Amino acid sequence: MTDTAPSRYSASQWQLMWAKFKDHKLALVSLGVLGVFYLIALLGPFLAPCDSWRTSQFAFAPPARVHIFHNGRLMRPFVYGLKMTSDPGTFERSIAPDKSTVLPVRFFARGAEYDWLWLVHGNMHLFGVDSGGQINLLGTDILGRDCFSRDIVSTQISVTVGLVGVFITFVLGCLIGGVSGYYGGVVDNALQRFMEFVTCLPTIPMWMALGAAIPTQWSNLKVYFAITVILALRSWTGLSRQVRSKLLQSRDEDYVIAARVAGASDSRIILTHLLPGFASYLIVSLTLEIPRMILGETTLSFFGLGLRPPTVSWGVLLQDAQNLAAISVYPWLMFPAIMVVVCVLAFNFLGDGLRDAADPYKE
Amino acid sequence: MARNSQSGALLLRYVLKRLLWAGVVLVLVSFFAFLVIQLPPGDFLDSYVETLSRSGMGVDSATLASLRHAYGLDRPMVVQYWEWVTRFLHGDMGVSLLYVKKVNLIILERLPWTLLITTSSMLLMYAISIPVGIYAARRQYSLGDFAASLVGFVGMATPGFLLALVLMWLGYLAFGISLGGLQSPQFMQQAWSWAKLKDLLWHLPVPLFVVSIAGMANLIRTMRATLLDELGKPYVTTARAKGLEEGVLIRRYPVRAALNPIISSGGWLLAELFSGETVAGIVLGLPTIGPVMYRALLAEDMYLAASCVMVMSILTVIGFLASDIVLAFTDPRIRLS
Amino acid sequence: MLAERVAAGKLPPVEERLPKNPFVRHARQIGKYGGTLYDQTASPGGRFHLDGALIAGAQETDNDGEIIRPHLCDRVDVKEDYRQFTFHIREGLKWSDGVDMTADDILWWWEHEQRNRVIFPEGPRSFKVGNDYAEFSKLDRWTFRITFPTSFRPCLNMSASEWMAFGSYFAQPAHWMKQFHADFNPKADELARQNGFGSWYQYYTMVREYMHPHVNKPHVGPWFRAASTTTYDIYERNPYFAEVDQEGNQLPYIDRIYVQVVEDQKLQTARRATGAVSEGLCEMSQISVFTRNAARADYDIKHWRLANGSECMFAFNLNHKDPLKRRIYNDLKFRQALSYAINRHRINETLYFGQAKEWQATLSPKVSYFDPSWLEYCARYDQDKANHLLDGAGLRWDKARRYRLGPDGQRFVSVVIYNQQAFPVELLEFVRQDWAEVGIEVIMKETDFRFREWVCRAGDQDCTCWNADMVEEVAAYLPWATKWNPQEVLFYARDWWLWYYNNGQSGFEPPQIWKDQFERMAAWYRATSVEEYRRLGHAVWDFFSQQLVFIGTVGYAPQPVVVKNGLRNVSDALTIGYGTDWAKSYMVQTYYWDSPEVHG
Repeated sequence: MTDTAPSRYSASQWQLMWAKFKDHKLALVSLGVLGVFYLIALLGPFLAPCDSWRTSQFAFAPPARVHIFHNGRLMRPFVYGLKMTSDPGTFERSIAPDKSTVLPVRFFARGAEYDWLWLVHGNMHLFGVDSGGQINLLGTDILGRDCFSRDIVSTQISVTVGLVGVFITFVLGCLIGGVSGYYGGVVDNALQRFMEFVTCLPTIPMWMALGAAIPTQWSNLKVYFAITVILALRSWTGLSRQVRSKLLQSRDEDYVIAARVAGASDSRIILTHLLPGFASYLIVSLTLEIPRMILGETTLSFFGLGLRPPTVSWGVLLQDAQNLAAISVYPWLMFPAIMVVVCVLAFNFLGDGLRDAADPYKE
Repeated sequence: MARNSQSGALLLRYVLKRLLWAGVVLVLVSFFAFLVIQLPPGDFLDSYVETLSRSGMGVDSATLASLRHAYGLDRPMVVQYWEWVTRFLHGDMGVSLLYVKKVNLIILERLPWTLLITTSSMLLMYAISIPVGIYAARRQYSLGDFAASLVGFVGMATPGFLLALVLMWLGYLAFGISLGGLQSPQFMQQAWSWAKLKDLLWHLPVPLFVVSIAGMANLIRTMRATLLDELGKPYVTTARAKGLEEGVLIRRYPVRAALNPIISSGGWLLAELFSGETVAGIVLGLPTIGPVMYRALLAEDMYLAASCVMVMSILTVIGFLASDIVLAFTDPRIRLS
Repeated sequence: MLAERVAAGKLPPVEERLPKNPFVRHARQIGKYGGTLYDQTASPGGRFHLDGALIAGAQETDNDGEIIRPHLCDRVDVKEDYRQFTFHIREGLKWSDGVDMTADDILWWWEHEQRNRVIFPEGPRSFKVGNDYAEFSKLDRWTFRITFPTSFRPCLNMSASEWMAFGSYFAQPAHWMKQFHADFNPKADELARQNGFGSWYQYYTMVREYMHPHVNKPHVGPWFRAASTTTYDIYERNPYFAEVDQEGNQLPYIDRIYVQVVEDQKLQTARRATGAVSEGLCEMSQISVFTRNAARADYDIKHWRLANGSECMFAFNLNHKDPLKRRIYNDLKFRQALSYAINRHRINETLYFGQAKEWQATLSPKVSYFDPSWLEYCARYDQDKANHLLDGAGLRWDKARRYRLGPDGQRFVSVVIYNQQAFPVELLEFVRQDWAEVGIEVIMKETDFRFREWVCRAGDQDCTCWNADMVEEVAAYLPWATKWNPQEVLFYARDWWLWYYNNGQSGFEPPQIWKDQFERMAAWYRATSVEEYRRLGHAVWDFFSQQLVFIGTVGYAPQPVVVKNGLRNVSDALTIGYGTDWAKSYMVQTYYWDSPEVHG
């Protein structure tokens, strides 16, 4: 921090907020981590060496190690090929590196085709091996699919589902909370009661019923949005409550009365005068809502209500890991759990940091 | 004297208002729950078909239609709802076609276990979160603060179903605790004894931990944050200046004030606990209401599903009420609003 | 367990409890009495691994499902060209509460349950040939007769299946069931209401099930349900069970079966892998956990086989409401193409260690009228042929050659619905990719059982898939074992079946070749000579094979089984399936523990 006492007093609100935010080291790190996640989500299949859907005969292959020494010689980074021995008598299958096959890791390699952001059709990957071989940095699953690629591609869905859901939450929360807080009285009372009622509804039966009501024929995209709506339905009450209480506090402020006297319409007052005042608080709430949505998506998948092949999300991958084989014998299948934990924690710490920074005048 | 009775009357009025509202909410929840349960297409008989076909009953549409009529499944939803609600108010929750038992019996069997797990988890949560929150606030940014928060955070961030499975497996590896349920099969049929109690105590830690860990992190964080807020207030500086000992100081005022948001969030906590308990109940095979409700929803066993939902909602509403009343009791400002 | 009760005078001694001529079950080793078997189920009264052992019927089949032999009846006489069947119940056979099981029970069941219009408004489903019902008559206390209007050879096969399992789907303990029947108990309605049901027949319908959680219902099987809560069921030994081992000891050896209710499939697997059950089937996808835990959990793994025609077979809806889809699905070329497109070898190698058989879904090859060509019909992996057939069916590739278009120029997508089954769902992913490679796009959607039933009943599904039993000689002749039973036909030809069943009143008319098939099936059931039986059987199944109504993947899969150490008389190598009545072939009544006190 390079601020000196005098510049602190003359800094703008946003500069103060940023300074306060930087103080919170954890939040800063989290911002970086989330940046990585969203970069992965953006680049998607480019970062994945293999096609996330290509099955192979090497089921449950352990993670491959990248070597640089082969027979004592220094080489460019490479992985060994795989060889499999299976014993039908004991149903044991072992997959080991085949030292006779050397697969150099090529950067910016040509590989499986993909559509990037529905616009560009390409086949370049950040790294990969020549066709016919495979590089499984995080091993394979029961169908011999590359876990690393699947983890990358699933990130795209999982980190964005939270964003879309939070947007819906934002709209609903502001709308209802805004009306409730601004008008007060009977309207407020009625809406308050309605929100309490919504909170009392048990989550899981509602999710199950709504999820089961999603028609079979819907494309995965539609299902994706339906899921975000279902998740958002749980979260909007929290935001409404916050918006309402803030509005109740500030609606009797002088500047609001002045605006009313000047003839501004109610919606204009709410939108342009009141809301920006506590935009920072809203942002904090929304940031803290995203991890709940991410976890909510995994819970929906647990109940079988989530996305279906060929779409893959963290929730879907975690269901593949939800068995003793994954936990005790093939632990690399649980890697998405680590991604979930890191992402959720990152959002939480970021929210904390934002909350601290949101009120820079507080000591 | 007059002031006391006046505030007493206000409290009473507040409690009555909340009770009335709780009743309304429950009625609305019952209707909504019933409606939503029927939302997926089909009904119970569609899942019962497999059993029926094996028993020699033709499963052509005509037979199904007559069965539907026999079980009253073809009546309009409002009629079925009305019948269920009136029976419910008389204490008769209907019959479960899936378990072929009165729903009362099923709920009665499972409710004690649900209450045991829920109350134990809540107690555990408070018992751990409050001291840890206080410690974290006093020793801000210390290693202890960091460690305590870390466990809480990781627990909150890990999906409950995976955590439950992993912990259950570790419990088996390390201590040989049998998987699933709160008791080993050998003890299930036996009468209560010390050995049976010990067996139960061995099975409790994993479910309790899984259910309570999710909310613990937030509680610790809230406790820590609000306590820090309180500690920053002028009256604390004054008390310190006056020479009040730190430990006494903390306990007497700031903690009490900081407990307010904790208490007021009790209702929400309970709601979250119930849904966490359902997931844990399914994964760990607990004898609680959650797994039964889940099966009933899948099979669209209407009365059982709706009754389970109602029971959970009633408990949640009681939780909200309790926290509201306790808060009103301790904080006079609430009664006046 | 029973000795003390006999000593206390509560139970007659064993000689009086057995029938005059008990059934002799050959046990591999003579066992010790006592102990409990542990099992698990998904819901109370639901199916569990050993539940087939609870069945005991008039006759039974051997372990190969080929021979019919007497069981609870010691003799069956057949007369008049398979029109008249006389069953001689073992004299002295008793229900589990000591009351004699006689022909009266059979007659009561037929007259007052099956033919009761309140319970069965449509009349009994079984024992009906054409539009007429068979006649039941009692000859004496231990003998009853079933007379059919025309020859009905399958009656013998039925008598050896669970269809004529006493106390289950055939015959009820009249003395005990009367309390639930309004004609015999004026308080029956009240009794039903006390138990939560609206009227007596609703409750009666539930109680008649042998899997119904009604405790202490008199039964003839080795165990009967003695206790039931929402978390477990307990089955206790039947003191009047009619089997003895070769040395005259009354079976079963084991006193009790304890069945824990475990709702979650994954927990069930986990419990199996950690030795919580005495015997259980292992999923192939989790096999590594089982092998690694065997020592710690104290069990052994035996290698059985699953006699299934196909781990998973697909049925396209031939009566689809959408005329375009209906035309495509009805085109035999389409179905053949999809069958050729499946790489069965890859499925076999990856999921079954190469141990399964890559064949078409059909009968057991051991059946007397079997034709080996049925196994290979379109079972070869041939993408070129598949593509060629699909082109011929009118499904052209799109410009980018990524998927095929229907005759209307739109992407041709089908939705396959399924519910959690015994087959590994990974198999579906393989098939989906195989079909995608020839341009046919499918979406695999998992639903629960109820939803799938609902959709198929409405005829709204595109395609569904499930696990296909491989029927053996005896089971193949059962009226519902053909692909034309009411349950399965729903999945592919609901409207034709309705037309057939309601004599043209509903549904819509099938093509002539199918109408010919109906005739053929009816004639097969009327066959009187062995030669006719074989000839018609071959023709019936040949038609189903040629029509490829079901597309199979791999079958006859390996089925590893965990068996707790110390449990004896468990087969080392067994082929289990529908054709051998599942658990009935395990001979659970001859299981015993090495040290019964330990396994109480």
